[in-house]
Amino acid sequence: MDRKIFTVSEVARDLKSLIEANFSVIWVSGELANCKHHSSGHFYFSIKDAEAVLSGVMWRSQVSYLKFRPEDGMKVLVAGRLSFYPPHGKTQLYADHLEPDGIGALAMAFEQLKKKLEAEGLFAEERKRKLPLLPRKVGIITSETGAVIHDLMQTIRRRYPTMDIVFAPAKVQGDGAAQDIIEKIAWMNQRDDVDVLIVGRGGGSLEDLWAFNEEALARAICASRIPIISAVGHESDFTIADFVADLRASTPTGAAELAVPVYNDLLYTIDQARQGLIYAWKQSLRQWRERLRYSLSHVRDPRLLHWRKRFEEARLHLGYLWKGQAARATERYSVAFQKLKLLSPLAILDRGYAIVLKKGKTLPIKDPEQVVPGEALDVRLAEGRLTVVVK
Amino acid sequence: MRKTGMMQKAAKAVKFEEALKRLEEIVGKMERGDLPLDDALLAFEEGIGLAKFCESKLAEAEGKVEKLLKEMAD
Repeated sequence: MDRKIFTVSEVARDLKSLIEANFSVIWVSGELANCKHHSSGHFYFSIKDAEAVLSGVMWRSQVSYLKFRPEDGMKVLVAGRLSFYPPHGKTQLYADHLEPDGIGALAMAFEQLKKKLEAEGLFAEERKRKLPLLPRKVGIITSETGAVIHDLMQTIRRRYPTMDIVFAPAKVQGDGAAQDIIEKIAWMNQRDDVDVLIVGRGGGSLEDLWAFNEEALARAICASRIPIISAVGHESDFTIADFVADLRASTPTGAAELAVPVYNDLLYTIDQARQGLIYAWKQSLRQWRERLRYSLSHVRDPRLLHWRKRFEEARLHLGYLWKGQAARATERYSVAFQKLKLLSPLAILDRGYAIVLKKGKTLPIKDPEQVVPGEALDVRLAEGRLTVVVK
Repeated sequence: MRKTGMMQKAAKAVKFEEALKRLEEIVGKMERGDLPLDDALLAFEEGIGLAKFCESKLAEAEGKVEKLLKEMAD
C-alpha cells in the first residue's frame, strides 16, 4: 500500500493555503479575551464563544482607526482574514476592522470617555466656575452658518442691546473640528475682555456631534480660564462637552439667557435701590428732627438757633441737589448736623445724664429746694422716661 | 506684566456684582431704621455712589460685534 507521508512543513503549507483560500475575507462575532495592547501599538487578542476560541491580532495601523478601546469581555464583530502561521502551528485571525456588536463604536467610545473623565472628577460641580452677572464681552464659538449664531445674536440683543460680542467662527463637524474649536477657545482665553464663552452647534447625528465628544476638546473646556456654556444639539443630546462645561444650555436661546442679563431689569433694580435709599434717609431725618424740635423747645441757646437755621438750609439744598452733588451737599449738611448734635441737650443725655422735670411741666429742675419729699417727678433719659418719688 | 493687567480687568468685571450686592445690603440696613443718624448719612452717601457706579458699568457696553478670523497677536 502506498502511503503519502507529509513532512510537517508540507502539512503546514497546505493547511495555510487551504485556510487562506477559504477565509480570505471573513466576519467573526464573539467575545474578546486575553486582550493585550502591546507597547508596539499592535493589539493581540482571543475571540471566543461557548465552544471555541480563535487567536487574533490587529496591527497598529488598523488599531489607529479605532474610536474605542477593545477590552476583555466585549462582544465584537471582527472583519479580517484567517491564516495559518507554520512556525507556531497556529491559526490566526488578522483583523482589519473591529467594532462593538450590539452598540455602535461611537456610542462605545462615548461611554468609555464619559467613565474615564468622570472618574477624574472633571464633571464635578465643585470645579465649575460661576458666571459673572454682567460680562464685559460675550464670546461665541460656533458655525458661521446656521441657526445657532443667529439665535444667539438675536437673544443677546433682545436682552441687552449694547452687549459687546466677540465671534470666532469654527468648524463644528468633520475632521479637524475639535482642533479648530480648541484653537478658538485658546484665542478667547488670550484676551482680557471676554468674561463668558458660548460654545455650540445645532442638532445632528452622533457622528455630526462627534467633535464635542473628543477628549482633547473636553480637556480644553476644563482648562479654560473663561467660564464656558455649552449649547450642543437638541434638548436630548448630551455630549462630553456638556458634562465638563460650566453650564449646559439645551438651546442657543437658553445659552444667551444664561450668559447675558436683562439690561432693563438691572437698571430697574439699581433705581429701586436708589429710591429705597432716599426714602429711608428721609425717614431717619424726620425722626431726628422730631427729637431735635422737642429739645430745642426747652432751651434758649442762641447758638442752637443759628445752627438750626444752617441745618434747615442744608437740608433743603440737599433735597434739590442730591442726585448729582450728593457728596458736597451732604458734607455741608453733615457739618451743621454735627454742631447741632454737640449743642443739643440730647447729646448730654447720651452721655448718661438725665433731665429732671416736675410732673406735667417742661422746665428742668436745677435746685433741690424746688421739690418736696413724696413728690413725683419725671426723669428724662436718653432712651425713655421714668417716674420717680422724692425721698 | 500683561497677566496682572488681565487679572485687574477681570476683577473689574466682578466689581459690578459686588457693588450691586453691597448697594442692596445698604438699602436693607437703612430700611430697618436702626442705624444711628451719623452712620445713616455715611451709608446714604456710599449707597448713592454705588448706584452711580453700577449705572456707569451698564453704560460701558457699546454693542460691537468683533469677528475673530485669525490669531489675535497681543
